[in-house]
Amino acid sequence: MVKPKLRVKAPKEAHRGEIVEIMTLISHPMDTGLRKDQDGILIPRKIINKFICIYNGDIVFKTNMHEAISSNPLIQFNFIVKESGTLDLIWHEDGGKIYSTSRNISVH
Amino acid sequence: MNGVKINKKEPSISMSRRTLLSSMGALALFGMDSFFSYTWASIELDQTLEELLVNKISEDSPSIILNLPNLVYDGSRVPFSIEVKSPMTETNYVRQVHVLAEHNPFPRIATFHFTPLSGKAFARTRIRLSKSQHVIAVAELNDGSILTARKWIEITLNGCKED
Repeated sequence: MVKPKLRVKAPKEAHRGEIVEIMTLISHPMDTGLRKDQDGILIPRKIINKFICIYNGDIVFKTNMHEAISSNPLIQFNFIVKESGTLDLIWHEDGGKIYSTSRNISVH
Repeated sequence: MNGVKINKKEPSISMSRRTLLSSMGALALFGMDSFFSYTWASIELDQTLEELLVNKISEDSPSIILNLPNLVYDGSRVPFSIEVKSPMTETNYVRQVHVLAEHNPFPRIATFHFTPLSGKAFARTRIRLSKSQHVIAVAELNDGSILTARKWIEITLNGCKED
């Protein structure tokens, strides 16, 4: 399988106590297990089932995803920036694979 | 030559008439099917709601805002966003928001877990819907109280099987 592309839209700088908006996108087919291929064989389920966002070691936002999320899942959420730090974004795929990326946010 | 042409044409006309009639029958059947499924929600949904300890979903909470278009052609990527109007402090915040679809093969869409650090109980994503149905949101606050809301959406193309 092609390695998924991770795209994150996050601000590099923020004011203290500001609510920032994070937009994330992972390229993934999100096979539901209901679709058939050209030979009529069911394609097994393979989806991104969990997404976690961690800022300086604290869980900020978490999502459990099921079959009804579209391919190339987009997730947008907010969080409060209290101090400078790193934002870790982790996607869990069916079968235990993990994709992760991180961004730095500086407070001024 | 002309005679041959007419002979060739005739069966095609009768065929099209036959397919038209059969498709009309199928349409009537599908119409009946959607009518009945609208009156009774699926068993899977009832089970999921029981797991979430929700007894009834008839009450719409004004503090839940479900942003969904009223009518969508393609059910495979429906823009969706949810906001629960609540202060997000250590003592009073929204813990979880479950999003369910009434008639999808798998009724659970997603569960969003918020923390006081979230600042705002808001999330946006894109979802798949199989047919015209209610999308249900169940919000769980940190004190254990439960808020529900639902919105009707019209879908033209099934988004669950074809991509």
